[in-house]
Amino acid sequence: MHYLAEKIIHRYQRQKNGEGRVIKKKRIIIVFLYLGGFITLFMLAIFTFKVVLVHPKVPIYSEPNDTDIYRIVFISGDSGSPFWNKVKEGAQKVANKNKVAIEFKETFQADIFGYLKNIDMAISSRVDGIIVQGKEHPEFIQIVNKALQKGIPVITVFTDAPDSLRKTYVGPNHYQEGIILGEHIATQMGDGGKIGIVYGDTQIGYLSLRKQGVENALASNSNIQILDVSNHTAGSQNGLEETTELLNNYPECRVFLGLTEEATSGIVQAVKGRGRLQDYLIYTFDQNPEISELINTGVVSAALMQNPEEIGAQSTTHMLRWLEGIEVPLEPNYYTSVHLLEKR
Amino acid sequence: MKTIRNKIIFLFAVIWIMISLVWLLMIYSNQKTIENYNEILHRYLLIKEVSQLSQDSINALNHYFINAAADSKNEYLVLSGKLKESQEKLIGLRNQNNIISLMNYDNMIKSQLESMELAASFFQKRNDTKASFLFNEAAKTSTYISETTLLLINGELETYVNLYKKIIQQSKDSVLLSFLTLASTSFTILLIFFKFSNEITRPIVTLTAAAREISRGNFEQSITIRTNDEINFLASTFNQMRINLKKLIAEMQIKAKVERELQEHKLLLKESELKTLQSQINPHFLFNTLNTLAKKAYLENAKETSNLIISVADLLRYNLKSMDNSTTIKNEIKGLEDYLTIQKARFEERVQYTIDVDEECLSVKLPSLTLQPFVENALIHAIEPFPEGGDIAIRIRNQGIQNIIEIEDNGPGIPHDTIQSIIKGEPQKEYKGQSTGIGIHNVIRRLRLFYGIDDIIEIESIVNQGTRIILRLPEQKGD
Repeated sequence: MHYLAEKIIHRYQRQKNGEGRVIKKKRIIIVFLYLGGFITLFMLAIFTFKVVLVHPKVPIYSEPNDTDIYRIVFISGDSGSPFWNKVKEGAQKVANKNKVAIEFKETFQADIFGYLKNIDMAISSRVDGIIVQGKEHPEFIQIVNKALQKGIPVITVFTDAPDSLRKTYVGPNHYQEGIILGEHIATQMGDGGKIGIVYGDTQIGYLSLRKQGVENALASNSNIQILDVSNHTAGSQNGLEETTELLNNYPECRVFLGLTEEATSGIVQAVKGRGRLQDYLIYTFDQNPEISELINTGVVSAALMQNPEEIGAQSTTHMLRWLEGIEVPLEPNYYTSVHLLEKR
Repeated sequence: MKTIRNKIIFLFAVIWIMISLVWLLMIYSNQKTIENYNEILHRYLLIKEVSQLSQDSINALNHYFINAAADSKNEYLVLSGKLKESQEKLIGLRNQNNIISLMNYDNMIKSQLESMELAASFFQKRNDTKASFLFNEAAKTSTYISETTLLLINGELETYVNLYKKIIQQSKDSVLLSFLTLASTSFTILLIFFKFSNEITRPIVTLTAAAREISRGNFEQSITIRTNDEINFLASTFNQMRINLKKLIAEMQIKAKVERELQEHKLLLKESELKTLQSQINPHFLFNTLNTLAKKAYLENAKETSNLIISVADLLRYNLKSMDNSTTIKNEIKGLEDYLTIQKARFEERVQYTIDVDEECLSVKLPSLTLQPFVENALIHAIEPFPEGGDIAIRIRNQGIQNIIEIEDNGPGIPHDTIQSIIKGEPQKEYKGQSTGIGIHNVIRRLRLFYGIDDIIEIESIVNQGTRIILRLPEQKGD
């Protein structure tokens, strides 16, 4: 106790000696403590708010009535193509306006197994409707029929599978496409000449329809001679090979028609290897950025184009009308508009 | 009253509350995060469980088809029952992003269950073709289910990417929060400690300093402490003690002074009494002798001698009788006249004296033998050494509240330092009175004690011109 008292007195005396300095120091410490205390308290409040009150929550769906929406699966076999993206856009727009959940499933063009599996999965999932690009493939027809058995309506788009039990087809009339383009070519080739038709793919239904249309349109002018690769071996063909063969057989042929976009790029490649592009007239069906570029540069004279958004929108609309019983039964075909795009 | 105990309790309560709050905060935050994790994990587990059950049940059905045993059938039934149960739980997993895929998933399970049921019933009816077709359907559906499981989990991951990011941010914030709480608690506690310790120690320091001052004997410094606790009480008590002590010591000092003065007075009286006693043998003898001599001289017709002897006898009597008593100026003057009569006989014409007394002053009381020593002193220094002699004047007059006695001579004067020592009351050996044996310092001392004031004497002296001694005696109250 005594020691303590001495110490305190000592301190007191020291304080007295350097009074002003010590008091100033003390004030600084107290101000510092107050400042620090307030700042940390303020930040503490903010962080407490952040950590405790604004706690992230696992989002849980709480709209009970949304179970009665229609689930429609849209299956296409051409992953990432701009054409199908447009189709999807159209479909999505209609879906957004109505109570429709549309699900897009894609495989690559060649993957017929994955394509069929997607349809089968959709059937297992008991979706309300399936919109699919038609294939003229026996298993495709079988699986469409299976869907119908399970009570799931199927609508084919862009290409049809008329042998199946699909509800309807929404897309361009391919024969009509051929007629339009054929008539255009006929006016362009007034004096007659040779025209080479390139498939660029196996000879599937819609390509034949197109070719038929073109042939019928060109038949009016007897001076026009239609050429094609006669001995088609399915699957081994591509546009480049076909065109090369045609050019080998008929070097004087100056007009080419691609039935698909692949065929057209093959034609352009082959012609480039032979001579000047300006000497040739090239016509095509379908559209993609490459073809748009070719039209702009004048390589392709004219292209017959579909309206992909219309295809998507129409197919979804008809599916909805069927599901809601507004339009039963559907007509066998709903053709969408096409138009011809010429080079400037 | 805010006692120190209360202050300590308050301090600890504040600390306790802060620490508990921090603790609760952390626990709460942790709990929330864990709940989130648990829920997410639960979702994954449920999806995984459904997928697993779908495969297990199809395997069990396959087993049953191969064995056709009751055990296998039971196993299949149990598994498909479980699958149904889990399927019902799936609805709880719905959120904005997975509602469609979850519905698909749900339907796939239903498809599988139906296919399996039908397959089992066809198997029992021995319709193997249909059974195996349906089994294949169920098996395909099961593979679709496991594929969709992956899709769902992938979807979950995508859906909760933001949540995970938030949770990660949250845990970072939590760490920061804990540091912040630590800092702010530290600041608060330090602040409280700082203020608190000051509040407690400052009064103690003040008190200690005050105690030290008192122990040194300084009672003047008052103690002021503006707190509201025990220390304040202590300080005020201490202050009271200081005031009491101061008063007591002052009283003691006055008492001691009075006692000392009394003692001194007694000592002076003793001195006079001793002197008296010393000369007590001769007085009776002397009186008788002097009376006889006076009578003898009268009978022999020497009247002047007879008167002189009577004066001597009277003076002697006065001197001896009135040492310790106060007397009146009248008596004092009578004694002085006797003395001067004798001295006149001795010095004849060399000494001239005048006594001038106001009538009203005659009854004024003063210590006896006050004037005689001064007059004697004047005779010794101003008359005796000079053949031509000198004048002595005694004047007594009343001046308001005091009576003034002046004794003036025209002698050689008194040196300045001697005057100082006289006024201070130091004894001067050579001035010892011849007639009374009483020195001037004795007279001055007695006067000071009698009147109780120091400023009683004034000496004016001019070299070779004379000395004037002025006594200022205050008017005595009462008798």
